[in-house]
Amino acid sequence: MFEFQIYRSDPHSEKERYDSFIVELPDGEKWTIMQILDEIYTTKDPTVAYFKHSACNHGKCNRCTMRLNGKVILACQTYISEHGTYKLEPVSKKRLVRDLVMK
Amino acid sequence: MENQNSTQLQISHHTTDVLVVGGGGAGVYAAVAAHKEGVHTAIVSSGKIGQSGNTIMVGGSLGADGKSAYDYGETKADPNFTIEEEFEEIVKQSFFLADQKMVEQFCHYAPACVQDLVETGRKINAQCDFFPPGGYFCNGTELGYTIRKFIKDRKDIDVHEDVRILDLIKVDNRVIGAIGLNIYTGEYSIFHAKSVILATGGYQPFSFKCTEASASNGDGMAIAYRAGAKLRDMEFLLFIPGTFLKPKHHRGNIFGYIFAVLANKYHLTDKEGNKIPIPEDLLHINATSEMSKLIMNYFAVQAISQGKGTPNGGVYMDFAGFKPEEIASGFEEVGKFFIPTKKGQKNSTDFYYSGENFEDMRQVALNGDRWEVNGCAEYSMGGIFVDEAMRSPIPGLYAAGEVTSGCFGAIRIADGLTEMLVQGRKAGEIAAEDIKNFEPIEIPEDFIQNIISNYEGIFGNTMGISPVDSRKTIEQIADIGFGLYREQNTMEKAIEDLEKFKLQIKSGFQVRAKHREYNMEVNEAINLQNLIICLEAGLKSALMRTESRGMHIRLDYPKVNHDNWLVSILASEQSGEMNLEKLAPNTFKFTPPTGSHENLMEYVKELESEFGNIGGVKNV
Repeated sequence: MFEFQIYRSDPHSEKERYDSFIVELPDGEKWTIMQILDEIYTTKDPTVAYFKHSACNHGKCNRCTMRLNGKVILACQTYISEHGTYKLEPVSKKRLVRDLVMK
Repeated sequence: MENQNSTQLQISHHTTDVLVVGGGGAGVYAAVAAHKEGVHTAIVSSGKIGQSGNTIMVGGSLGADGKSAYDYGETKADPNFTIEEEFEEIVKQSFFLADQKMVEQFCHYAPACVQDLVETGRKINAQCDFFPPGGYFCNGTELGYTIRKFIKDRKDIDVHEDVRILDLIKVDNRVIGAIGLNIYTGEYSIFHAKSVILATGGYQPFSFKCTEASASNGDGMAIAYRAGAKLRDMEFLLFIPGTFLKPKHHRGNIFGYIFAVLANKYHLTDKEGNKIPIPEDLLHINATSEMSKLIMNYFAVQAISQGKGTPNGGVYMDFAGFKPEEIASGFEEVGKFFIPTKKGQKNSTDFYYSGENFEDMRQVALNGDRWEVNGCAEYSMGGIFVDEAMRSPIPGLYAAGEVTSGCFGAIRIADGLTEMLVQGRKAGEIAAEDIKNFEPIEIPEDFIQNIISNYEGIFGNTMGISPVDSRKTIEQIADIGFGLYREQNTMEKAIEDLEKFKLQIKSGFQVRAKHREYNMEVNEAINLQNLIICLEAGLKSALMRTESRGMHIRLDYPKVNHDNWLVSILASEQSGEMNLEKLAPNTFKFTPPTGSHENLMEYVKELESEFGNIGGVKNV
């Protein structure tokens, strides 16, 4: 099972939470975190926010940074192929805009 | 579902002389040129300047003529490749559809613009390796940093990042500003300006995406169209062959084409593994010219359209029959151009292309296996109708770079990177010059309120189709009717479906996230309203053009018909409907041919017999 726990926040309240999503990856495929977030946004929850509006998707713009299980990564260049539970969080909550998006 | 947040509407006002829209090479060169002319300049980008858009996606070439490069001191340059020769190649390889005045501007501005960029790039140690006849090889990421430096070095240019322009402000038939939305905050920005330069890049409506899909929604084209401008040549999209269909994590990467051109160790095969034959006389053109994009696509189409396509609708780049050492040396050849720049990649034994690890694909090739690839839209030849001074027919409105049309006609064989620089600089100079005696016009308050209330309708709309589903519908329409090859019945069906879809979304898109801050559905809804205009113009122009020309491959009209179709198609809005008209290109230097060619390859062969090797403007 591929479980993704995504940090959710609301800029107008102090409340924060983690939402859990199960994404089924076909056998033998590896997906980037960006592709997994796209899958969650397009099929499960369109209210989730992650850096997307000018993402290059090929490791060039270096703006889709976030934390995967605590480690800073580029979402478009980090692959998932093993079953497990993965936690996605913003790099820093100081400059947080919403969910995984930082200014 | 998220809760509604009560946030007071924030609107900020900014005043400038020249407003440049777009944070890629065209926008930056326009802003710098306008600023040098002594006028106040602001640049607004929907992403970060030099870290967004398609400028950074470049595979690498930045070229001008060889003679100018030689005179500049590049000893490896080919002085025989003159401006005149470059001009002739671009015009003829554009299938004579290029506006020759625009090509002339391109060729004459190119050397200084390119040298300027290379010199600035070298200051920050960016890779700028010269290769003959007159080009430099650049890394997209470093190119982005280079153009960012241009703006950083000019502190009094106002910079607005992550703000997307929604619409132009036009009063008394003159563009006097624009309204923007800050993607992070949901606040509006009103730009009061004396003129506006659109430099927002191209469009691509398909599900298969290679370059930066999230920003290739034809924003500038649609914004200009809504303001009354005309769109030209929208049926011509440049499809780059060899783009990976599989595996999913590499999907959309153009490395296959890079390998095809630089290593040339592969065969094209169909789903049965049969070689797709490319005639001998076209094979060597394929290996040396930008025309290879058309040749590879043309022969792939012959297989795909006959039901011999791969499971994902493409073809294979097949390495069967090549020795591992041949493939390995091919990768070494490619590696000379693409040197890893990131920490952790430099010392790795894995193969990196740009920012991405391709060791897995290298192993596939070394094992004599195959890559599943197809043509993918990477560049729009079509766009806003402007003249060689980058003026649109609407006073106060200019455009530069990929968002324009006219420089490359039916297929681009010279560098898009060079286009953005030369047109950006020209647009900046002209826009600044044109406004020297122009007194600012006040923007009526009700005009601003009207535009804002339109967009506020998107934020608050709980009815209708979701932007996510709408994107899928639009992509499906484009895939079926507007792809790599075209036929009347599929285009008619696509137009019918698009018209139905336009009716469905009349009441707007459903937006479930209620936040003003980073609302992805709102952003997507705005993308789609722009993309729909571009797709409609492209589809209707493609249906109207009953011939094949450049990258417009029609199965039902394979002939290149010079007698009837040496014209551009212009799309404009009239009484709420899209109107199409024909326009003969400016051909002040070379008289266009008459008669017809049996098919696209016959035209390419004739070019070859006229030019010898037509690889003069080779790039990647």
